[in-house]
Amino acid sequence: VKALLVLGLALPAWCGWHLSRWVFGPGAQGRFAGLGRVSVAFLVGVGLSSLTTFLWLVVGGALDPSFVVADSLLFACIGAGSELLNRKGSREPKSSVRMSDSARSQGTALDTLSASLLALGFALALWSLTDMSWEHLHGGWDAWAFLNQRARFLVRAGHGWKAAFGPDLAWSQVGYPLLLPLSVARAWTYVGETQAVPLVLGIAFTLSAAGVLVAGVATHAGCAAGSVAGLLLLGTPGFIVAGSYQYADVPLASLLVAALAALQSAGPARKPATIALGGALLGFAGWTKNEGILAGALAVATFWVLVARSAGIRAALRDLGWLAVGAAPSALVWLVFHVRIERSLMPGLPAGYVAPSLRDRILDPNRWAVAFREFSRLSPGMHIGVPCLAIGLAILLGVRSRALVVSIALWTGVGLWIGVAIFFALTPWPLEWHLRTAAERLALQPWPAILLGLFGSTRVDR
Amino acid sequence: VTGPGWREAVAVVVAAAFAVIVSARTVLRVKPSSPGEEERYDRALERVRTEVPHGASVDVLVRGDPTDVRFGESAATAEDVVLWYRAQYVLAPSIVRPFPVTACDAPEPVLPGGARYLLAGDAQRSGTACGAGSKVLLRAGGLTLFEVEAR
Repeated sequence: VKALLVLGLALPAWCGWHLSRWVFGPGAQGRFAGLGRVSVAFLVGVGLSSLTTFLWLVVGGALDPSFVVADSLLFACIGAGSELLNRKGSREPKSSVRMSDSARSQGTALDTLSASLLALGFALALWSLTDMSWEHLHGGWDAWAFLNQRARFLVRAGHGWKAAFGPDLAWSQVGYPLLLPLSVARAWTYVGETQAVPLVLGIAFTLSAAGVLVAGVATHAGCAAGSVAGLLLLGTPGFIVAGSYQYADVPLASLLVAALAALQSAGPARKPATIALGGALLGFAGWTKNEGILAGALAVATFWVLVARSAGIRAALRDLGWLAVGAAPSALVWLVFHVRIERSLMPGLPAGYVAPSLRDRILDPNRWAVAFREFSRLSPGMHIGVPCLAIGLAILLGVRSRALVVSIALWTGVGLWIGVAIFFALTPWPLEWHLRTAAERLALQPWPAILLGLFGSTRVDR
Repeated sequence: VTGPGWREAVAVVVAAAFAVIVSARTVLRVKPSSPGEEERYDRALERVRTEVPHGASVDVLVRGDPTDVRFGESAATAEDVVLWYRAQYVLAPSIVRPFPVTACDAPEPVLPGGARYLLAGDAQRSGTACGAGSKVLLRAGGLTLFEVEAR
């Protein structure tokens, strides 16, 4: 069983490994490039395999042994083909990002200290995640009531999997995109239905967010800044809790920060493959949760403006094309899902409940005040001062305002935070209930991206 | 920490100390000694799962509309919602529908004040009449699912 689980996860990750070289490949600087590459490989592997699983179902297949044969053959062929192409002499891509001299570590002692403390942070986070996951084997509310329930339909119902989207289940967020249920269902088809699958996936998504963050920051600002960013993320209580609860917000945050790390690493040379991979990761984020579409739109808009400002509109349009190429498979699958399977994006309001009109919601200043105040209060680690600590440490590490201004990660993260707060202000659902049940989770989505933007803009001048 | 990298060293040590404290708090937290509400339901529902025909329709008795989020105004309680959602999770791919009841003389077994479960279709079901203070047993397919105190 373990061998099959490893096979199920490893084959797509092997394909992801070949693609991940475009973000943290051999040309990338920094001690943590390998950590970032493994994390991106996992994320790309999960995203790709969820798309192929969905297509298998849509063309009439079921998640049975024939799927395991076809799926493993597909990813073995893709992986082997990529391996052959690499060995045939295609030049290894050189990352366009070059760490500045001042960011380059001046002593191995500091690097060793950073790496050691980061390893300790990862070990403790893994312990916490495992400990909490063990207590919630089925995950938190959204995980078992919506995501894993849907995965059970996909596996247990065979060819009748569309029953998961019938009107009787309209209450269960049937408009959620399917990356997570499909990933869980796919792994269950390999090894049988076990709670170990969503549990392991939840832990892996949480740690991969930290892995990408560390590598993304280290590439631009050195090992110490990368370690600080990673330790702060792993020390954010809500992030670890949401990861162990198997909430979709953590995978969304992981995919978003990976996409932004890719777009940042594209650098001035703006390698098409790196940009396309960033687009693919943004597409996977949109295929995880609908907020991912907002995040993707913000990332694309920010990227376009920054490229247009530095290289001109023609170059920005070209890059936009590469982003679209990467995001297209997920976007197409999302469209097929919503056109052919489930049209709704959000569950309907309860019978008899009359929401205030949109005009009233927009014009009610109290709603805006409550939404922004509560969303701020529930932001990641706010109750123990994590955002203040992050800002203080970034200042200590020499954060540069000019770098912040052109940070795609920071703008996208802050934009997503504001966008979600606006979403709460305008929600047709009872505001207090909606904030209480969802705000803390949703506020986690931009958190790794904000840390990437903040610490990726640091540089200590010696 | 007087060398050229002192600021990085301080930042890394502070961040690590913070992460260690938070992780320690998480790992050393007080853990519940008894199974939660969801786990209690699981045990009963898993037994029922073997009785339910694959893909059958299942009703769960609840008070009021469990999709109504206005707790306090709605007759449904958080317990109703958890039971209904959990039944759907455990019994998938059967479709579980809420069956709202409000009084003891409802046409289906009525079990106010506790967990309620009702199998539809071919499965047997039975429930005693309810009355204040009496014990109410609900049996389905020969299994006693819940024993609750009627209020």
